[in-house]
Amino acid sequence: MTAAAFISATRDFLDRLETLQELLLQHPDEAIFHRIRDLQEHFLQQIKAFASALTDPLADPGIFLIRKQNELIQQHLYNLRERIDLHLSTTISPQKALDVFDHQYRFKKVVRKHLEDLEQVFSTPDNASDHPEN
Amino acid sequence: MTPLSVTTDMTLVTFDITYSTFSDMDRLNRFFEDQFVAHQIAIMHNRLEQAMGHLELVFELYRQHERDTDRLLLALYEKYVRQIPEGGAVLFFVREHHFIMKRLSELIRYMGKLLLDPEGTPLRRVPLFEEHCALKDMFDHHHARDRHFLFRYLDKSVPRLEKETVLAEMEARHREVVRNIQGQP
Repeated sequence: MTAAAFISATRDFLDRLETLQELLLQHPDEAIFHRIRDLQEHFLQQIKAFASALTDPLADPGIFLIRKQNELIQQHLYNLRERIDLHLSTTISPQKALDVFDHQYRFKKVVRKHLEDLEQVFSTPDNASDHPEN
Repeated sequence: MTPLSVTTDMTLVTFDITYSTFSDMDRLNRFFEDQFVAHQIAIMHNRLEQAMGHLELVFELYRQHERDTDRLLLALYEKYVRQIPEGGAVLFFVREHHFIMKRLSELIRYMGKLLLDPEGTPLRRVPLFEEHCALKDMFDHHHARDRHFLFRYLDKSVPRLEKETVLAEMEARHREVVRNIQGQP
């Protein structure tokens, strides 16, 4: 996966997540929890694929930063998955929807920052050769 | 911030908190948090008038709490706490109150528009609830500061008689605000 493809996938993920969050806040039910979980799992696979394509992180501070953020986002996604699974084990309520939303708020801030840094790191000529490829 | 109990019917909101110590005011902070979550849940159910009721309660009570803190509690804090602890500077409390009141005022204005002009005011829940998240984070942060510095040090330092007088005065005023906002005699 190239950096450009991953940037595009991340933007798409944030858009889709916002659509699902709007539904979550209107009709908090089991189905929407599952849809959010599936979307987050898909993004987890994408972010892992991008991580494995990042080359030699120690050679470039920009790539090092991206790798660290990538690890942090993966950790957020595991935590969110755990939270959603816990909520799905009992009856869904508006309070549970708010709990998921509140955690996604912090997660989205990290993802948005990652997106900004990706755009910066992978737009410089120095890193052109480091662009991860499939 | 999961509420202990969320009142979904405004007629059921009661304020049964008594202040024997300054640290008991931490329960007032929990009351704010619970009422704010009740406000959010009412929006989720599209019960906007009810949502406004919960928000007004938070707003009016917070305004009173801010006045009491600035006029009474911080004055006692400065008077009796010999060495203000790091992280417990008076300016932090004042600034955070200002931030919280500003956010609450903006939310009240927005909810007012939503109720008066629903056609012309789009309800986009995600950005609104993200604003709520910022405010709830500030509640967490500020209430922890109240708990660890203001209430704790006031309990340790203020003489008993003065403490009892101030707390009784504040408790009475807080009850009055809750009664007034709900139109109770």
